[in-house]
Formats: sequence, C-alpha cells, structure tokens
Amino acid sequence: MQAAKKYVKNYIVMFLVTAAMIALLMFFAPATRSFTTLLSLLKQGIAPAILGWGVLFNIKAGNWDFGVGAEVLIAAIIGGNIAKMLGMGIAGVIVCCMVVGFAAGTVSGILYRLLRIPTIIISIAIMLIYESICGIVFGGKGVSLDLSYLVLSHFPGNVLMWIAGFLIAYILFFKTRIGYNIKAVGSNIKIAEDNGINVKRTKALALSIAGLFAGLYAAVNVGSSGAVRTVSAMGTMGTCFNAMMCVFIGLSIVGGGNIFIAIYFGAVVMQMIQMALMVFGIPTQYSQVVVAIFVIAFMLFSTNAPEIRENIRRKRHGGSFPHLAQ
Amino acid sequence: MEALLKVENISKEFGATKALSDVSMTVYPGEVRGLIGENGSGKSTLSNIIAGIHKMSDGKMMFLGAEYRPESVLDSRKKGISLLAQETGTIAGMTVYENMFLGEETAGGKSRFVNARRLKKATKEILAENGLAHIQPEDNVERYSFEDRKMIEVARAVWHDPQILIIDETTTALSHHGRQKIYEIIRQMKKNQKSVIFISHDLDEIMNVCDSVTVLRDGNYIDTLPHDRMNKDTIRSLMIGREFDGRYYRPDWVCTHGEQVVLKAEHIVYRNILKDVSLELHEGEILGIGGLTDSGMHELCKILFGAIRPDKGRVTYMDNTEITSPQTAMKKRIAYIPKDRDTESLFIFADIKDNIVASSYDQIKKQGFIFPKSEHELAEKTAASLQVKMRDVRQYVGELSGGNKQKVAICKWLANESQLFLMDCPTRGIDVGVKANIYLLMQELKKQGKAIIMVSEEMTELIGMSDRILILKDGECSGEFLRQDHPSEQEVIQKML
Ligand SMILES: Nc1ncnc2c1ncn2[C@@H]1O[C@H](COP(=O)(O)OP(=O)(O)OP(=O)(O)O)[C@@H](O)[C@H]1O
Ligand SMILES: [Mg+2]
Repeated sequence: MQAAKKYVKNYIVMFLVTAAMIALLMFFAPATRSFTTLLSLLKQGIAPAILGWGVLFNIKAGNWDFGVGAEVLIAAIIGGNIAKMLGMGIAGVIVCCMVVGFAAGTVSGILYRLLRIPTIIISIAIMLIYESICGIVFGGKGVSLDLSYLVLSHFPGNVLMWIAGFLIAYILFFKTRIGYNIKAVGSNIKIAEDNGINVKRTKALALSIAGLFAGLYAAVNVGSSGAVRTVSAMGTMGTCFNAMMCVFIGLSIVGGGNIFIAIYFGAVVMQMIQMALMVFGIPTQYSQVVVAIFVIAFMLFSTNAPEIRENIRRKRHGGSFPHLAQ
Repeated sequence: MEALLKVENISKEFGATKALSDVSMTVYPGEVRGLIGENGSGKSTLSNIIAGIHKMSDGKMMFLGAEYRPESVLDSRKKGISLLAQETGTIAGMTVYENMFLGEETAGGKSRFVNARRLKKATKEILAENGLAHIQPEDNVERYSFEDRKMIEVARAVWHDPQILIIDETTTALSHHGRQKIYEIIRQMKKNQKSVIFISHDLDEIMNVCDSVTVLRDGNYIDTLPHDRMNKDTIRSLMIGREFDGRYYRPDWVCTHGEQVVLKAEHIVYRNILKDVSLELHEGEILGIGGLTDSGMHELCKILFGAIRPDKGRVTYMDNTEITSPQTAMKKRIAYIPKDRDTESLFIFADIKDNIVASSYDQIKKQGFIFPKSEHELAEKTAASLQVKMRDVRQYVGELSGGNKQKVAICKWLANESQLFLMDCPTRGIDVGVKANIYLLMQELKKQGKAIIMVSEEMTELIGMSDRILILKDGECSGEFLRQDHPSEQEVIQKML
C-alpha cells in the first residue's frame, strides 16, 4: 500500500501532464478523437525517446553534443548496408547500427580527450565529418532495405526495442558507477575531480553511450521506414534538437519518477504537438516556432516550480506579496 | 617509536606559483599534529598531496613503512588516509547517499552493479552512528545546512576507519556542537593509536587539541613544536616571521554609534526557523549576532539582504525602502558576505579582477563605458588593501587558498563602496594577521559611519568587536549585551544554550 502510494505520487505529474496535453488536442481537433490516434502517439514516441535517453547521458555529464544526429545517420547507413550485404537480417541491422553508433560516439570522445577542446566544438566538427562520410560511402545513396526488414514500426518489434533501450539506459544510469560518475561530473566538476573521479574519461564515456543510443535509434529508423538518405549542411541538427527537446520536457515533468519514462512521455508530447500542427494545417515554417514555445513553456514551469510552491506556502502563512503586486 | 607517516622533502609548483618547497614532516601513531601558517602558506596543498588530490612535484612519502603514492582521494582513503577538505565537498543536486559513496558506489558490495537500496541502507546506518539520524539518505544534499553538509563529509571520512584523518580548517565553519563532535572523533582516534593532522587558524583550538604543531611559512617548513614548547606568541611569530604586536580587537569598551537607524527588521517570521525577530541597526554601529548554527542567525542575515523572503514581517532601509530582493539591497549599497563563499559569493572559474569588480561597474564607468584599465586599477587597489596573496589579479579565484578566497569575497564589497555590511562569519578561515586587518577595517568602516552586522560563531570575536550583541536561540532573541557592560564569554554562551 505504502509502496503503491509512493508510486502514484512519483508518476502522477508526468502522467497528468501528458494526459492533459492529449485531451487538449482531442478537444480542439475532433478528428483526432480516436483510440487509434492515441495508440499512434504512443507508438511514435518510441523512437525519439530512445535517442533522448542517449542524449540524457550527455546532458547529465555537462556535454553539449550536437553530433548525435550525424551519428544516427552514419550508424544507419554504414550499419544498415553492412548488415544488408552480409544478409544478417533485422537482428544484424540492430547489432551493426549499434556497433557503428557506439564507435562514432567513441571517436568524438577520443577527440575530446586528445584535443582538450569543449565538446560543443568537437561535436559540430564531428557532425560535419560524419555527414560528409555518409555522402561518400555506398555511392552516397544512403541505405534502403527490402520489406522483410520492416518489423520495427509495429508490435512487437517496436515494444521490444523500447524495452531493450530502456533496460540499457536504466542499468547504465542507475546500476553502474558510470551513471553516478556522470551525474557527479555534470553537477560539480571540481568536487568530482577532487574525489578521484576521472572527469575527462567520464565525459568521453557519456559521448560513447549517446552514440550507442544513436545506433539503436538508427536501427529503429531503418527497420521502420526501410530507407535513410544522406543529409548534408548540418541537416542532422533537427534530429538532435528533437531528441533534446524530449529530454527537456522529460526533465520538467519527471517529478519523483523515473527519468527515462519521463523522457518517453516527453517524446509523446512532442509527437502530439507535431500532430496538432498538422491537423490545424500550420505551415511547417511555423511548426519549429510552436515547438520551441512549448519547450520554453515547460522549462519555465519546471525551473520555477520551487518558487511557485514557495509562494503557495507563504500564502498559507498569510505573508505579503510585494513583488507580485508590482 | 615507528613513524606512521613520513613526508620527505616535498615540493609543489602550480605553474609559476611555488606552493611548497622542500617540506618534511613525520607523524607518529596516536599523535594529533597541528598544521599552522598564514593564508596561502601551503597547508591545504600539503594535506591535499597527502590525501591524493594533488601530485607532488618532487619528494617522497612513506606510510606504514612503505612508499606511499596515492593516485586519488579514493586511493588514499582505501590505504588509510581520509581528508576533510577545506571547501565544500558534497555535490549539490545529488542525494545524500550518492554523495556518501561518491566514486565508490560499488565498494563493499559483491557485484559490479550499483545497488542503490544497499547504499541507502548503509548511508542511514553511517548517519545514525554519527548522530545525524535527522538526515535522509534520499534527500538532495542541497536541502541541508552548511553544517549538516559538512557533517555528512565527516561521516564519510570516518566510516572508512582511517589510520590518519586530515582535518583542513573544518572546525571554524562549525557550531559549538559540531566542533565537539569533531573533538570527540579526534579523542577516539588518539585512543586507538591513530593520528590526526589538524589545520586551524584558531590558536586556542590548536593549543587544546594538538600534541605538537608544525609551522609553515610561504611554502617552507619552519619548525615543529612539541606540546611543552607550544605557546601562542611563539607560534604567531613563527608564522609571520616577526613579532606579533598583539593588537587585535577594539581597544575601547564603549558603545559609540549614531542615533540614525539605518536598517530595521520588524517581526520577522520564517518557517519555524525564525519566530518574530526584530532589530535596529544604527549608523556607525557594529551589531554582533550570535547563537548556535540552527538558531536562525544565518537565515536572518539572508533575509536582511533580501535573499530570502520572510513569511511575515519586513526589512526596511532608513529611507523606508523595503528590502525585498538582493537588487534593492544593493541599490541601497548593502553588502552581504555569505558564509558559504564558494557557492554563494564567488565566481570560482573567473579571475580575481572580475570577481572584485563584479558589482562595482557603477563606480568605474566613464560616460557609460568601462575601461579595462580602471577595472584593473580598482581590483589591484582593493586586493592590496586586504593583502590578497596572488600572482596578479588575473589569477583564477579557484586557485587561491581558502583564506584568500574569503578576502576576495570581502574585497568585492569594499570596491563598490558599500554603506552597510552584512557579514556572515567574515573571518572564517582567515589567518591571525589578516584577521587583525579585517578587524581594523571594520573599525575604519565604523569610523566612517558605516554600519555592520556581524553574524559569528566565535565568541571572542563577537565580544571583541561589537557595540551590541544580540543572541538568537531557536529563532527568538534570547539576550542582548552592550559593549560597556563588558560581557564575559560565559554570560553570552549561557543565553545561547
Ligand atoms: N590549483 C592551484 N593553482 C594555482 N595555485 C594554487 C592552487 N592551489 C593553491 N595554489 C597556491 O598555492 C599557495 C598555497 O595555497 P594553500 O591553499 O596550500 O594555502 P593554505 O595554507 O591552505 O591557506 P589558507 O589558510 O588560506 O587555507 C597559494 O599561494 C595558492 O594561491
Ligand atoms: Mg587552506
């Protein structure tokens, strides 16, 4: 009973926020009032959540990594093509994508350690390099797989991928020392270092882990759509930002619950926003703006939550509000 | 007797700064060794080298008869040397149990995976053993006071059951209660033939706690005095390299201040920490506020600066402006020197100049522009007035010794010509020489008609400097002493307990 109560308390925020957002959508757009829509939102949240889980490691470690989008691309194209050439089936695609993604992340980690340049710069360079490599390898045609590979867009493939990703993320973050070291380094680099944590190594490992999830996301992508085309001129930035936004929303609704589940809900909310833009026929030029506004709104709420609570507490005590009256 | 730790000819350079040159020291089992010296003399550098935070540039260490080269704090802890660092050592944003097992989350367990439940349980036990049962392992450490956070570090240091415990300047930041706990730990260590290296600027404390004392000056080893040769005057002159002239606190014993009330707090209520506290501060007055750490005095100081808003009551400046935020306070030229300098008042990753001039741009702007030259001049002038020991004003504040950081925290407010000073433990971690300087500075400010509130845990300082002392106990004013009545320490402490 006690445990159940705690559970409810921890997850109520993210659940209610997500439910409220979806209810809002369904209220204003009658066309979306169906179980199918709901199901498809939940389904479409899976892939971006997986990438978001990887991005979380970077954010917690204090890394700015704009390279994950390009890592997705290179993992999909190289990993996908290799698996296809060797005829390894979908399992091969998943493994190859993850290996390539992990390697791609590790390269940026190694560069970071060798060059001692901030991750934000390394990651932009990495992004450009990976995008160009993708334009060259396999004739610059990207990757395309035949129908037999397309099993990751629906049940049970998608759910299995979700579970696999969640387990990896959960274990790395909560069950191994690396997760704790990442949190320590991201929260206070000096104290972490003074306590014997290898800061450079930890930050580099976070980059590798993000690469691993980029690979997983790449696998889900090729295993759903069958094709990934090359992108250039920082075109992969969009993928990266989308994942970051899922994380930001996740962080703002996490409450006392599990952050990886919160990020998944964040991804669902993101999908919902995009769907709303579609049904209301808002041109794509504006959709980025709307998404940005939503993210800011979430952040605003979460960063000010303690203050809002403090004000409520003070009101109960009958204190004055001079700064609100102004 | 067999030595426990032997430090031989250690040197340490930080770039161009020579922090230690050729220092040797031997510590024996059951010995409590004091380590003393002015700010920047190398005490923390030496203890950090012994504890594995820094690597020595040159020299050798022997521990338990074998060569000793710690790789990190974790390594030295494992080998039997624990450090209580001078600066905050817990990470805000992480839980108590995560901090307790920082860097050794899997230690003591059988598996290579972290078992959070086991860590929480262990943390609970460790806390309970150290009389800290009120701290919850799952809570963010941020929720706890400076003192509680320090005590979490103490618990972390002792549960490893070290052969040598190094205590760097921890006690001056603690309340009476916290100090007693540390003295008790020291007694236990001694009884079990273990050793303590104890750093403090409080000579009385050194005399009481230590069996012997090693003096450092400018990174050089000066001397080690056995207990029978320890006396305050000798130690002082060894530290500063000349006779100490003994002038310290205010020489007069009268209340001298103007009539004008410059700051007024009326019926302040805050959570259950402060229950209806009122006070008036006059121009040219030094108002001391004393009490135990949890008496609410630190919070009161923050409320006076507008950094926390009280639930009830108000703080007003002499022109009737209500102080509702640090911005309003600073507009009225009110300065606040917090107790926790690292997190609340200094930009550790910025240089000394930027820290000093951070709130003084109004003073140095010419036709709306800031010129680097005037920034530089202001910073140099102010830093020189408190003798900040530094390479130049371009040095990062994070590289300074603890006491010198504190000086920079004070310089910041001298630079912007503040009129009213709220000082929370202003001389924490400052050596005797500079302490005397700060006291002189306070008298100088007083002479100029500026008002000072000094919250302090040091009785002698409160009595020595204040025109008036207010004592807080459990969030209420429990006593008031006037300077002319010449209160004794005993009388003051009685009101606190
Ligand atoms: N990381 C660093 N980089 C550069 N210089 C440093 C660093 N750490 C310490 N120093 C310098 O080494 C000298 C000795 O500093 P240390 O911290 O050992 O002094 P301390 O005796 O502990 O002083 P305090 O009483 O103020 O704590 C100082 O001049 C300081 O500026
Ligand atoms: Mg020091």
